[in-house]
Amino acid sequence: MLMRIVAHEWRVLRAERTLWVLLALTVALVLYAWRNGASWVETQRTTLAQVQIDDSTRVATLATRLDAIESGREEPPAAFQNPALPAPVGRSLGTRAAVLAPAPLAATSVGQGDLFPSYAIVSTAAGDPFLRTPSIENPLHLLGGRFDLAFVIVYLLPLLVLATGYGLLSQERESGTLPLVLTQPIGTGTLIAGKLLARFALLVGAIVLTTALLLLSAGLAAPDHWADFALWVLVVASYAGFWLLLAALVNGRGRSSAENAMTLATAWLVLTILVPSVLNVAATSLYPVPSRAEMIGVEREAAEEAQERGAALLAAFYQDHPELAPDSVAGPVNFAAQSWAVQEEVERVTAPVRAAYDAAADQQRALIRRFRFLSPALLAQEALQEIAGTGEVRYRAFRAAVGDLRVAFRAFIGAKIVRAEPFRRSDVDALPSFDTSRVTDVARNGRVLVNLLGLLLPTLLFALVASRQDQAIRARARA
Amino acid sequence: MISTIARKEAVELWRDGRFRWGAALVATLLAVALLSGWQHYRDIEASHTAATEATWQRWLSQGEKNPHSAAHYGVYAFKPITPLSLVDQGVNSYTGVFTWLEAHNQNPFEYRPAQDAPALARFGQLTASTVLQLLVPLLMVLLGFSAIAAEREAGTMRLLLSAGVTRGTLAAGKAAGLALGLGVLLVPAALAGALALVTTGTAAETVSAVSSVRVLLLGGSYMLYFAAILGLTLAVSAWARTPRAALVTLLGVWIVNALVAPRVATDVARTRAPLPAAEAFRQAIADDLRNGIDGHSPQDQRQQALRDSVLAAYGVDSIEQLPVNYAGISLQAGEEYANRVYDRHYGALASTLLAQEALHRRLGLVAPLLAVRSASMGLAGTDVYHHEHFVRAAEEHRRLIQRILNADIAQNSRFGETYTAGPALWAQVPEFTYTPPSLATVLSNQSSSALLLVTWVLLAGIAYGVGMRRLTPE
Repeated sequence: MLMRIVAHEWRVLRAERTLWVLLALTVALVLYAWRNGASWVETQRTTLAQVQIDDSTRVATLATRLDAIESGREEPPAAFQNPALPAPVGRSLGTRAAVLAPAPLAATSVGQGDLFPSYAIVSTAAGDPFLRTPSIENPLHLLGGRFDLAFVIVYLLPLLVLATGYGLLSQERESGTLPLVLTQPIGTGTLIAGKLLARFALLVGAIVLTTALLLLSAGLAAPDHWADFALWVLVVASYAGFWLLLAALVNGRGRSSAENAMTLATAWLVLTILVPSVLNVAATSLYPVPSRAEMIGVEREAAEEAQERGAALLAAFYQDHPELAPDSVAGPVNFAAQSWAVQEEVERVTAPVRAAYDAAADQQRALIRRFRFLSPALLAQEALQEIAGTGEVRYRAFRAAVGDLRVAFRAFIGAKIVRAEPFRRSDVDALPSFDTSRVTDVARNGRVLVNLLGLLLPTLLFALVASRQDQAIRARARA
Repeated sequence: MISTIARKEAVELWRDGRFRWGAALVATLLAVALLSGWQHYRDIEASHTAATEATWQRWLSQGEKNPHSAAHYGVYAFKPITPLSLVDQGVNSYTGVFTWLEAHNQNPFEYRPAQDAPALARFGQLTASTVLQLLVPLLMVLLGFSAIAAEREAGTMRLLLSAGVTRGTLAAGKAAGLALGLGVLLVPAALAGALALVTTGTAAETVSAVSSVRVLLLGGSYMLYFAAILGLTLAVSAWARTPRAALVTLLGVWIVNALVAPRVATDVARTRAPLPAAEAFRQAIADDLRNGIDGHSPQDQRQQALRDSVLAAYGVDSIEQLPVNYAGISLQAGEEYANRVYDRHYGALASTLLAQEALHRRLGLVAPLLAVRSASMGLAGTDVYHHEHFVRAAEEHRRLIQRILNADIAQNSRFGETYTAGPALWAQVPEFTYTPPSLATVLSNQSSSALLLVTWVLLAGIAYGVGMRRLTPE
């Protein structure tokens, strides 16, 4: 019976002009959004490829020059650009690139990718390496966000769903066919389910098929990429399901089509726009992250104080690290070592200040994580970004991995500076480099599944309530 | 007669539970938005004022050192927050908040606050401007879609027309009634906003005459926007066959205006006025500094030429014989050359950014939201134009610092000597004070948005009028 209703709905929908308009609109939106996302990924790939080429060229040049110097074919240049000294190597000649490659489905969601740099050059220099990654973007465009597939799904798909579903029963009632249909030996539950399935198959089918074809044409091949896509389809389907069942629920109340449209539009507004922005206001007001302007003062003060105590700091440093002390303490002042000790001190003093900013941001995120279940749009957005590899968790993991590399890099170079050792050819291969596997995120699927559950539970609840509306609908249809 | 109809409409609106709920929701959100905007303004204002004072004190108390050493130490310029940002934060979260003014380099602005914010913030911040630009129009649509269409459907339209009410009177009455109903909501909100603005006035100039003119103009822009939306709503209601068709059409219009248009405008701006790739931009500046703007005057050649011309000007044959310190002259010449390079590249970058912003504004012809958004950010001083203005002012100050310090080296020291200056010189550098763009500049920037809003009001009004004239009573 269910299939008969689905088939019948299909025929009815097919005869309607609006359906074809909606379908064409959906496909057009997906194509447009895809083109946007794909061009973003393309730019990313070009930039990152260049960064990686530069990185290997830099290290290769360093090795060749050290070969030449060690074999006596080349005179070492002035101290500040001498590759045989650890300080210039750490500052510029041997810096290492850390690159976060776009994930297979990156083109489906730009996410936080336009805001956070996807590479950094790690050196011994003070401060956040990401600040030295150049970035040019119109702030107006960051504010507005991109027209990507995630936008189409999170904001527009519900509206398309509601446009096909707001008159699920009310239109039948208004045209007088509902009592007729109900004289047939079917439950209203089956009737609604059939209508829902037809619409669901249509919209979700159009989006999923178009996207699958686009992914194929973009050369997505590996099985785990398709596993990502399967997860993506699950999220899209559950999200669409949520809105369809909400439409069914509202239709069961027996109001007019116009009233249903109004209720559903309001629900959409509240769930996709109001809840996220109110949550945002709550998070930022409860746990405000102070302006970074304050950090500058602390950094400068620490730097000056450390500078004044330079010699004392180096002495203290050798006391703490006797293994790093050079063999003879006599001789000229080791300025490189002294400035290194100063830098270390500045790092030490400013670390808690930096941590305070992160802590406030973490509190905001924790609050949002608890309340995200209030908005299916939020759940879907987060899940889609996670799958596309452009969510904040991945960027934060990358940031942390770059921080670790910086610590390792500084330790490696710093040990040579304070021991007053030269930088040798053999050290080139030992230079710490970026380990991409540190950003692989095993818990991602788990987080996406939690969000999926958050979408499915209310959907099931709606289904349960809608299926109990049978008597009421019949009573109203008779009246 | 018009007033009778208007009164009837407004009273009906107020009796409608949905209106009361909707109005209460919008009013609450507006209050929350203004409150959090005010809190944000107060925090940032205090923090940036303190930071500006601190960087200045640090500059003054840096002790004895070579002026060029002080130039490398430099000061920081912190972007001040404008009082009207409590209404519209504009692009503030997405631009850096400070820059380091040091010798040789025009540094980029650092730390976009959005990078410290949760990803959720990308859903949009709850500011008074979002409430006014997105939610109030939706409220208008939900309340007004049936204004004409429902009378027709219920058959009361024939009744009204046969009772001698002209279509013009009816049209005006309906519009006035809806406007009245919404005015009851918006006027107190506007007053609350103005009050919040007055109470934020920590400094006397905050509530100066200029900013009250800005507030008035801001209110005016929103009024035009609301008038356009009201006109559109009524026009669609008059043209639509059924209330349902009117509602669905209007929701579609709202979505295109509020959600789709800003993003499509971004795509248009990115294609029509593309920005340079960040790495290529940096490389181009480095190349120009090294090889000269024409590509054929490398740094050492430029230095040689400078030395020759200075020696010739003073009529001596070695730099030791010069009555001034050549180091200061050379440093300043390096600055001047770099300034030309920066003017060329950063100038082109700024004009592309502003061209993109202008494209967004002009697309207000397609969606009124883009026009009112531009006017709102412009008047609040939170648009790209204001940011670039501050960037420019900070850079001018950097150049001023370099001129003063290099002139001191040239005049007060000898070539090759170890020279130090002290607090007296540091105090000669004026403290960085920023004068925001004048209201006149802002107005000339935004004249097209105002024009577009007026055009929208007229078009919507005409569509409404024609719709009413063509209307068949059933």
